[in-house]
Amino acid sequence: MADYIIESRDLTAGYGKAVIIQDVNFQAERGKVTAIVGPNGSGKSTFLKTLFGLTRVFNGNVIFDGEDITKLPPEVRARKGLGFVFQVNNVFPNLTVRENLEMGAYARTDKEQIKKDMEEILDIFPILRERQKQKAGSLSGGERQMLAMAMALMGRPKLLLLDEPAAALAPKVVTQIFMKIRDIVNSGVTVILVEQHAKRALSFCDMGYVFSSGRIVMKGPGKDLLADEKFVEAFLGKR
Amino acid sequence: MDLSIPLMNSLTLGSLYTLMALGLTMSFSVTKIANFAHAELVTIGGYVTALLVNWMGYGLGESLIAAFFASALLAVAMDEGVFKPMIKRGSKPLFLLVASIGIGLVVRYLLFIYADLNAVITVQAKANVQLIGRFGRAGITTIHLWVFPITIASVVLLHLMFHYTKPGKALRAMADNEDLARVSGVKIYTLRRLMWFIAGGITGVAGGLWSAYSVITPEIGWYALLRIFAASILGGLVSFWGTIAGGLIVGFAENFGITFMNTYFNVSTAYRPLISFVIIVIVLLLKPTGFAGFDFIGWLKEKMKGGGE
Repeated sequence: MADYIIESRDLTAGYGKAVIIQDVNFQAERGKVTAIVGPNGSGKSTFLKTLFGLTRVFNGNVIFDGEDITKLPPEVRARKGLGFVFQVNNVFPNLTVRENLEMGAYARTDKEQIKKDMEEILDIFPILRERQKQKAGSLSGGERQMLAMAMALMGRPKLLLLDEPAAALAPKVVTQIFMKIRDIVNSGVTVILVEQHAKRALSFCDMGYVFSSGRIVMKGPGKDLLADEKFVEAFLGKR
Repeated sequence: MDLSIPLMNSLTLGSLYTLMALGLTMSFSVTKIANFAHAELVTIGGYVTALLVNWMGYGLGESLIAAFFASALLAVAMDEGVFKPMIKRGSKPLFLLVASIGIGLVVRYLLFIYADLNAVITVQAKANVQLIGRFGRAGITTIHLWVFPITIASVVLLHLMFHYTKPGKALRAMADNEDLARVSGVKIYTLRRLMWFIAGGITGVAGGLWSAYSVITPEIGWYALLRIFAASILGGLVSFWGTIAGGLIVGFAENFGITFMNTYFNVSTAYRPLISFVIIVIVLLLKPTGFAGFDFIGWLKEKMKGGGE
């Protein structure tokens, strides 16, 4: 039986009185990459934010590591092992790169281990070591994305939610970002990835979900979805 | 022409405006609320100090500590009772600003009722003020020994807190992006309480010092509010060092400006507040960020390095 790190059950959520996602039943297997694809406005990012408690839940539950976290605020979810990388505004622009990384480890108390992790992270993202004293607001788009992922990793998450990590980045930087994501998964962190570029995401992931109008319309192993005529016709255009 | 008296007055008032504006800078930078009820934090601090000194016979130091706690608790109550619930319901900054005017009115007129019933509509803390020296014709008193060190210590401590402590860095992070701070594990509401407590407390101390320096009324904070905003806006509403510069500029501009206008153009001293208003308009028109972004510590290090060579 599959070991799911997070599940949503009949989840309906949105902002204010507006319902954006409806009756979403979703599972992400521990140690794997799960991708969420779909057209613009299909509710992918809202779903990710709902997993982190950043939206209003009207119905349903979110189960993380066997515990119902539906009513927990985001800061408590972060302390339980969830990490989030926003699509935009994902760093603190007026803090230095190092301060941003420290903020990533904010909820942790193991000072010595934090120091070690900081060095490790700076080894994984060498460009950030060079930019340590620089304000994050002065970084390039790719550097910011790396900093955002590094910050999330400083929190030692069990599950990392990535919202379009490659949006608006140069192709060379996108390749680098996906290589880093693979490294993160190999280190034992589960990843849920929301991606506009369906082909790239599904060829990268273990399991894929397709959203449309706030609902899951298809799911399956990424490579199977890419081979599915119906999926290709509806979301990638005719071959 | 002997300028020692306006110089001393400018320094004292500038320091007091700085101290009053620090809390506003702090609360605005973190919450983005233009809190007009900040004026009442000054007034409450002033009244607590004056009444404790005059009625209970406490020393100025003890009374200032009480003023710190009184205004700190009022600031926390404002946020918990009004701002926080409104923010949770999705209120925009403009609505919060209007609400702050409402809070200010309620507190001010409650204080008016209290002051009227107790015959303290005007009051001054009868602190044991002694002349300890002279600067030209201006006297240096024990009040100055309270005002200058407290102002400098407040700025330095706030700078250290915001740049070298975990809660301070988290407050700067919250100022940048509250959602990101939350997903980083920051308990934003606990930190907001801490921020309001400190901001309110410092402002209360400023009010307490004011009551020892001059006569106060229940409207003292309201009258000072324009100067407080001017000082804070000069600091870009985010910089503590900028606020110190802002407070001193307002203090000097008011004293020297009105002396100059009165001497040479026969302008009544009643127009003194106009100077702060002009400062606000000029800064917002020409450099809305004020002194924010000016790296004072870096500049100081550079100067010291230069001096050592």
